[in-house]
Amino acid sequence: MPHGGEKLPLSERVFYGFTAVSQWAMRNNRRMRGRGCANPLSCLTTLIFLIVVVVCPVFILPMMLARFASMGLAGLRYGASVDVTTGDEARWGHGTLQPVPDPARINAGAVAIARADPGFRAHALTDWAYAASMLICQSLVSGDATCTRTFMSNGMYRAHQALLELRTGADVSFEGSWRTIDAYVVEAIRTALVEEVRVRVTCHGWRLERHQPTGATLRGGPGETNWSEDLTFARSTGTITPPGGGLPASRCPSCGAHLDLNADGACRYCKGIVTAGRHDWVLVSWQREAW
Amino acid sequence: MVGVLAAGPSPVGAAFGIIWLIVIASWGLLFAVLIGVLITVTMLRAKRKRELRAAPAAPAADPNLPTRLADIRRADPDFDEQLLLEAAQMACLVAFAMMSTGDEQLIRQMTAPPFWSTFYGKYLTMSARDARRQRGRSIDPEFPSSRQMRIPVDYQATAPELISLERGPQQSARVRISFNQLRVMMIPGAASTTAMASAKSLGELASSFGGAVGERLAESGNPAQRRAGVSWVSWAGQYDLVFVRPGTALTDPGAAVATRTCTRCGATYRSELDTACGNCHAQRPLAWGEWRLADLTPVT
Repeated sequence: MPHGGEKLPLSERVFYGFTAVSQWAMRNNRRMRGRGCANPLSCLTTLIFLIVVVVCPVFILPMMLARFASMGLAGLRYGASVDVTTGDEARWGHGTLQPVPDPARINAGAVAIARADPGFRAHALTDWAYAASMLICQSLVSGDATCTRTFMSNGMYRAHQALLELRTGADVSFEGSWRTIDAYVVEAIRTALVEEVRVRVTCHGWRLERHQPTGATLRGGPGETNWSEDLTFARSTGTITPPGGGLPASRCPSCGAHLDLNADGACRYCKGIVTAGRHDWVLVSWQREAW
Repeated sequence: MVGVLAAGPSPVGAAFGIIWLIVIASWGLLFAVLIGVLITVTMLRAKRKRELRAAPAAPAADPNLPTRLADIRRADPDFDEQLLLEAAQMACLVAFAMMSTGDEQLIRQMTAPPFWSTFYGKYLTMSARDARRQRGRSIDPEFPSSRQMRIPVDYQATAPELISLERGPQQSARVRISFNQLRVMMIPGAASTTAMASAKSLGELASSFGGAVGERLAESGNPAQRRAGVSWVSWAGQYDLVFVRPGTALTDPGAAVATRTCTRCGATYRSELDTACGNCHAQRPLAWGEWRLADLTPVT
């Protein structure tokens, strides 16, 4: 039943009431099974169970029709456009990495960035991706995103922390250990607003995701394997690499001090928010291939 | 039944006859509605696939965006488009959280009232209500697997992109983002139950429905099989998120740094999803100020 006396439309209340009765009948029907028809309560619950099965459309239909009426035709149109997949297709389709473009295009993007920022070095980002992948692993195992604060953009950091909280609340645990064995640039783009560099890292190790209360293994296993991850770094167009190397070199891109950020991504010395992408590269997307 | 109706004189018999008629009509109508919806959705999906094949790529970012950004910065010197991108990332994640836990508070705080009359507003409301219903359902200790569990597992998104920016009586910004969210369903007959959500033909729907009912009945009859099955549900796509704020609104440069600790009492927020201070109950400000999500549309 809904929480806290939530006000629901009549059709939903009828449906929830019916659901409660059907669950009660189903439970008791299971319990009474084997006691025989001599037990009047057993007969009653079996009868209610059968009635519930027979009359179910009477209670389901109003709810369904009310929902259709509320959504209208647009609901069906949008419903057809929502890409919902289920089963193995959903599991193995989650985390499809974008294809690698033509090397000439990658090179042209990197050259365009370097032309505007002579201090730009792609290897600084690939080296950073090595470390970032390890720290993301650490955050998944601990359920705390704090260790990722120094390289994630504010939006990504908040979303990552919220996801970890959501998983913890649902009793999903993560175990794993991996190392990055390779990293290379697979995309470099410069637009009027933003510069983006996507780095693909190859990892080796293991990861295992479990649902704690049931002990069910959701994804992965203890066996070691190789997989790829895409880390996309971005910054505002017009930003140039700071003299000390900036965030990839563990320096505040604003004041040059040793990197020490608070939870908002602000430098503890100059108080500037340096993880918004205006001062330096930050991680704006992390995608891992299906596992 | 016909005999009961024909007998006429007994009001009880007539009442039963009417109830019986209603039940039969309901079954007929239920199947008609399901089949009608499935046929419509199948046709619309096929049409959409044809359109996607024929249509050019989604419209790219407004070429005048740099000029518009310069305009808005003249009126609002602290304007920061990064905050809009941050808002888009959080909005998608919070919608995922809402569909998994049923908690609407944060998304309500992040949205403008018109959002709730859009398709996705209504869809989220219904999903959240269903999630609350599942969460609130009592667990039978003898049959723990009778509880349906929807477990949020993963969420991945691409880098959000600012597509357009408009000024006027109301400022509006469009941000594009692709995301893929993954949930686990733990329920007897999970594979068949989830397959109903993505059935593409009547045959698929019928076989998955039959499979789900059959597995549930088998589970209830055989104690050895009282274990929930595991299946997966994923929602993926590319969407444009439209954010609005009043035409006279200005960016508060302090808002972005006041999201971790309560400005009134100084306490640290316990969760990223908190909407109020756990200590003094003051409302938590949003880092992106007055921008609110007003619409979400799929990019074709």
